[in-house]
Amino acid sequence: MNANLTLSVKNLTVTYKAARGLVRAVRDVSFDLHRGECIALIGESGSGKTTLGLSLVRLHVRAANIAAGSLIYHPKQGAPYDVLKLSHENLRRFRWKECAMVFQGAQNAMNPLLTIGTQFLDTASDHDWTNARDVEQRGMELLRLVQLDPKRVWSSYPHQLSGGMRQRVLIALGLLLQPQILILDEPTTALDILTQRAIIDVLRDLRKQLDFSMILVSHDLSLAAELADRVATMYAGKLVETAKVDDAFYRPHHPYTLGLVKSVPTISAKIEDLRSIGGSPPDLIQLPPGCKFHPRCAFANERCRQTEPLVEVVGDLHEVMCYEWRNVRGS
Amino acid sequence: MHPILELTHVTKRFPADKGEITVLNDVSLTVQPGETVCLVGESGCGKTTTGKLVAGLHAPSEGHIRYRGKDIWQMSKDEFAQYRREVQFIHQDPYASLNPAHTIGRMLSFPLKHHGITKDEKSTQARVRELLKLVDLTPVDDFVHKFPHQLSGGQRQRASIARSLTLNPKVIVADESVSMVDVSIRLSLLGILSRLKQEMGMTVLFITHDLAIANYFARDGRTVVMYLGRVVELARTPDIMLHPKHPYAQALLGAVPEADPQLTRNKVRVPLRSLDVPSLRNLPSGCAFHPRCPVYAQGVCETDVPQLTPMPDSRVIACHVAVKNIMSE
Repeated sequence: MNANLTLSVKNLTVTYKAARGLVRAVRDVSFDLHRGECIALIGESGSGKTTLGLSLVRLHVRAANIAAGSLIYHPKQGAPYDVLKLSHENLRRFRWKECAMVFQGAQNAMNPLLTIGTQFLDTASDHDWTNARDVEQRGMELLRLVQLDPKRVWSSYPHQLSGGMRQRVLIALGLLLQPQILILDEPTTALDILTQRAIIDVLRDLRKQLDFSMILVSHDLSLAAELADRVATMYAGKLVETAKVDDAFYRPHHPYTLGLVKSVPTISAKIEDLRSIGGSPPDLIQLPPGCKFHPRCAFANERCRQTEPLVEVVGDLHEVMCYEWRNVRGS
Repeated sequence: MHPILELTHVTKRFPADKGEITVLNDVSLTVQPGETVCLVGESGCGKTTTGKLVAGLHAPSEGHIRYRGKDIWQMSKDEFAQYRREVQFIHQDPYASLNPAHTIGRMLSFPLKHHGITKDEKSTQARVRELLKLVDLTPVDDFVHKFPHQLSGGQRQRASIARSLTLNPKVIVADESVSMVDVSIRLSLLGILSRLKQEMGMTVLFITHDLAIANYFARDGRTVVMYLGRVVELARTPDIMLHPKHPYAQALLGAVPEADPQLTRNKVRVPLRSLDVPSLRNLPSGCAFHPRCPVYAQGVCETDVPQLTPMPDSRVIACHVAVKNIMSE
């Protein structure tokens, strides 16, 4: 067994019941998260990335159901266990203490009636950490680490802070119980450039100073380019490619990853090389046969239209779900 | 020939709890017909207010906005109506800006009929179909009878663009028009806008906080960088993107995260002295950027407001220090 493993997701499938039928939001997803590693989950809206992120802490909405799979978590001490089999009480302990999540748009979801300090103390006492002085000391230290003025922020109410400051407070709050995994859903979306930069720098420094793994869920490829060690591309509920960050951006093997990378302008790259991906993501209730990307894919052939490809290992930590990866790689 | 748009010393104040806040301060800008001009900056810099003033949705508190040489707030009723037809606004949010109770066909045919652009039902329907084709909402029959909720975000934004074209505008003000759609379809929307601009000779005022999108869309045009209600630098787009001179523009370009791991992790960054954006209610004295500015010069920056100064390479900047440096080069 790999001692560096912190979370091992195996064959995870999540479905929603909708009026029209069953939405297959996450289909048979497997990946490993290593200690200290940062994985970015990228994909368009409706690709299932947020559902996947939420289901790692079993916080998916009630209409959703984890239909199959396992989430093997490796604690710092003790034997690995399956998060999907935890009792309600043990799950409550697992969340935040082992695996914390910073939600999308969470800067607008703090309790407006409580000071930041109170929210730190509440969180700690809910996890049986009742020594207020210790909590305050640790909380202040984390606020300092996210480049905030701890004294001022501790006694502030959420409305007294800007969006970027609140986002940094939430990152600090997420790390209060020293979790091994921090999941961040769109942490920089809707923030200004200089604020985005501050958040990115804070996350990078925190990861150097505190030892934790990170899962970034974002449609923003530049965030993945800044922070990720590995990039996992999601399409129609499947991980269609996982690769080290440089491989994902410079040597993508899946046509969808290639399409995403080619569709985002940068300031210095050649503009002529850019192109958008035609078509739109499939209906998750009525998925097309074969490879789910084939209706939008320039490399698709008869085989792609009939049977969905399996995951293939194509290099070091590089897996891809495409029959034509040899052709994609060369293009 | 008159410039198509001319803003001279435009200031806009809005009433606030106690007194007023100044959202735009002494902004001047001239736009030639067919030009693409991009306004960039962070929230609160006044870029959207500028767009709304240009579209005649607000009146300036001071200064003049001229359309083809005429002050829009001194136009006759007919002239003003004509100007409003010729300058169209595309909103940021395609979910909020389309009437949920109207089909796409109805939404497009109403302005055509109301303004007498088409003479009868047959020509109206023909024009609606043409507009849908222009924005690639094809096959047309699939879309005419659809309601906004039946469309994806990208399709809605296309419908929104089609609607802005119903009255054959000369100027389009596009406010963050691609920010809310997925990355994979942003380029195709920008492609549609560029094509329409070329085919119809339109002038586009493009407002965005995304510098890479600005660089892509306005690469042949000019870019205006704004900060707390003022223009701080204005130049040809590549000059701003590759060689910004104003310290705020330099900070923004150094900070922008880019979708290229090697490039973005090895960029030279300009550290700011403070991360906090001052409030519009309580603007710093002198240059509003001075409390954050890395090249701040004591004794000048906190007392004198820097004026926009033309540089030899056709750019204009408002910075005491940068102007001095360029002039002594």
